[in-house]
Amino acid sequence: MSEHLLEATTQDGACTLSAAELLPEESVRAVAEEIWLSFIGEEEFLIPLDGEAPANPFSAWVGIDGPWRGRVVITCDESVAQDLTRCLLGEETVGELSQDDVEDGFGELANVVGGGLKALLPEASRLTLPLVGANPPAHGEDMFVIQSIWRGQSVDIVISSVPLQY
Amino acid sequence: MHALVIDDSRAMRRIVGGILSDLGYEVEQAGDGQEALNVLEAGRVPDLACVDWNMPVMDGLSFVSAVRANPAWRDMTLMMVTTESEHGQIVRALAAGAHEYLIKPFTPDALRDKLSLLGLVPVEVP
Amino acid sequence: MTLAAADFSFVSDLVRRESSIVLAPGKEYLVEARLLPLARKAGAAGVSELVEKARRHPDRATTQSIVEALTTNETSWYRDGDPFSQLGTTVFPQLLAARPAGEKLRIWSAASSSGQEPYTIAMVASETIPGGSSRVAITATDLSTEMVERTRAGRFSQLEVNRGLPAPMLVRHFTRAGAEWEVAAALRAMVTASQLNLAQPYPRMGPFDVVFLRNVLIYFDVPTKQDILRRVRTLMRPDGWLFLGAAETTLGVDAGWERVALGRTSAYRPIAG
Repeated sequence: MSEHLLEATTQDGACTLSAAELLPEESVRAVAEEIWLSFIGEEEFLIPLDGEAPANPFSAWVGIDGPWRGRVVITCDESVAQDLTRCLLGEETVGELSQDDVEDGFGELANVVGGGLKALLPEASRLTLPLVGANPPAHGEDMFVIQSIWRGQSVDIVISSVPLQY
Repeated sequence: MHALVIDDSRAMRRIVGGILSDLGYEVEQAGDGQEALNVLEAGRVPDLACVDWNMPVMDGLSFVSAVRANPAWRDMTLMMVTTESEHGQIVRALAAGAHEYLIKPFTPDALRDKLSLLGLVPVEVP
Repeated sequence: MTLAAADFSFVSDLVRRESSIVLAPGKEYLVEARLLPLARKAGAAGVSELVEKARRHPDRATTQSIVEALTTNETSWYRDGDPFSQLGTTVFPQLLAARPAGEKLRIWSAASSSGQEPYTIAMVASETIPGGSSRVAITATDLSTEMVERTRAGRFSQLEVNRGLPAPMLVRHFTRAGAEWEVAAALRAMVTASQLNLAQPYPRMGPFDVVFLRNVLIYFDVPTKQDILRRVRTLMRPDGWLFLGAAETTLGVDAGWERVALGRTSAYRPIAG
């Protein structure tokens, strides 16, 4: 794997593999499923099916910075982000959720997904702190979408390479 | 027993803090490494610190190194609780002086298992 | 979410027939929780539908997967701690002193599940015995063929390595393999895994110096327990050690054992004759 990456880097050390080649769908799903089962709930499955596009899309994203630079964006309906946060915090103990709570909880979910994916990369990389909002930055050209359904609602994980930003 | 939970995510502080309170810990929280050092410098030195890695201001690895550099805090048990899960990162954290390492995501049972490895929960006698 | 009484009794009869394991009434929640992922994998709407399918068309694959889902447990590394620390500090040194140099110690992990127990034993051997990986041979058996395959592969998910495996042991004995962690080749070479039903006749094996028969007797009825303990005894060296689960005992089941205190835990040794 490491050798492949070396072959796939240009002279300035940038990686030329696409996001989908670096992070195979099967591994991404394995990482996400473990996160759902341990943080969202023992019986919470991410089903690998396409769902309907959310009415009020809401996203959380982290950047991965190393020989490969990329971004992992989770997008779902804002109400789904609330439900995920509620589950993360322990459904029965949560009262009213503030917007702050949802941004914090949903952002942490993206952070954990990003960390799990970063560990799949052949070279050491760093994770940026999570950001949350209705308008994530534009995806890179090699974006690939991993679609799932959770409790009947769509949850997308979008991974793409992003160019250096100055 | 007194625990300090250091994480920039309030959700995560609440999850880890909740499990520890259920076990009878008195829990204090900090949002980054520097805030946590302030707690120690104010004289509130916990038995256990659960430390996230990626945080603004001061990250968890720097916090662990700072704690290990001060002999007055020698008795504190340090456990990383982080999404960093590469082999090399775990080695770095242990070399810096962390005693244990719990990878996110984890279940409450996994955290309790780690505490019992560290001798920080009462051992159940059959 | 409640399982119909007829479904539960069908499942518990099936499991009892196939494995001698008794699912007492009150374990409906367990059946539901363990079979739900299986039902989803099989494309059934729920556990009832899965059970209905198994009842109408009792094919081997479906019934076996039901039995396996109900007879395997999530396991921790170094489960309960003390038996494994005593293995390193007391049991291994005593046995090695009593054996001729170069003779291997034989260990049996008799309900090895996905492999946490045999590999924990392998880690203890490699940490406490000089040249430990060449001095200890571990036989791992489990009822489930799927678990035997998993033990052979020696690969564990992130969630599994999070359960009770000390971080220094993780970095010393495991490497990352994609989303999983893989046990070092030296430890894998110590472990031989095969399928075995504790309630049925055993193949020719042993004699064993140490047997781990932990948290599995609880599933059997008393006559089967007695039979298993008696047959395990015949496979052990006279100075061997038996470890049971923290809540289990031979007392009142099989009189052929002496209970010995070992630190904060206890072990059993065969009584001569």
